[in-house]
Amino acid sequence: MLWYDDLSGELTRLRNEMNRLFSNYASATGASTFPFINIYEDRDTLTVAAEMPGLSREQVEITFSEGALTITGKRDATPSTVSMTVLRRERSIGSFEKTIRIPVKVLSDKISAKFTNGILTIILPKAEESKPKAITIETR
Amino acid sequence: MTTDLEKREKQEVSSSSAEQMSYNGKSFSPDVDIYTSDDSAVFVVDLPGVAKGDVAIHVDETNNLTIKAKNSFAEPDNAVTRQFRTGNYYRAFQIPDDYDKERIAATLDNGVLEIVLPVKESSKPKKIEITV
Repeated sequence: MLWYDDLSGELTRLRNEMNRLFSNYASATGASTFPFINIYEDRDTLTVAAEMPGLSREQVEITFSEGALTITGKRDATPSTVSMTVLRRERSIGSFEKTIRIPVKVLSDKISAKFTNGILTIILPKAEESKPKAITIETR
Repeated sequence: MTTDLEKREKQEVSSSSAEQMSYNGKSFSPDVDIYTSDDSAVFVVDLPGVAKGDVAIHVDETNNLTIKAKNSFAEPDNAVTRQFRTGNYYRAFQIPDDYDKERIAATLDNGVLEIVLPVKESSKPKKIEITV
């Protein structure tokens, strides 16, 4: 039995993989393992987003300690497919732990997180001292 | 040819923008696992950021299965580290003739799409018993 992927799809996938490899290379979070993480910064907050399709709130643990945010969890194989023959496997499964160093002071008791459609979003409000200050230029 | 699944998806997405989406722009190829048994084939597709009703699955006359999905993750501005990009998803597969395209079923849970293609009754392996 043959399964063909369309060629343009394969090329797109290859390009995505290359993009991921190169973006990881320059990233601050280290190894390119599940889950992929983006970090966003604005004046008042840092936002960490992690792609975790298949996981739900109960399956993920988030801790913050000494300036490091750690996400741990386990992605299980799809139950209905356990006894089936594997023809193609691209998705990664198993336990993971990802630690992200947060370079600015944040209000650790005000960190919040939500899970939407397989994307985990963690919001870290900055401490007052970490926010940019406007400096007034004095007139002489 | 319109499959049951196609009809259902069309109703589901009528209120969303999945149908009007242009896939010529930025779309990404999602990771897929494929499993088979005597009874069916199962596609498991990672679609992070995709809400229920924003997936369109089609099988055409040439047995081409296409999966399109709209990513609705509201990405904040100013990324300082980026390991994933957000955009819509597209992937296509050629499926063998042994599958019953009229009975395809699909579910989406926490950003994971599961498509079940049942094997046609006529294509299932037969058990032949020989009495000696």
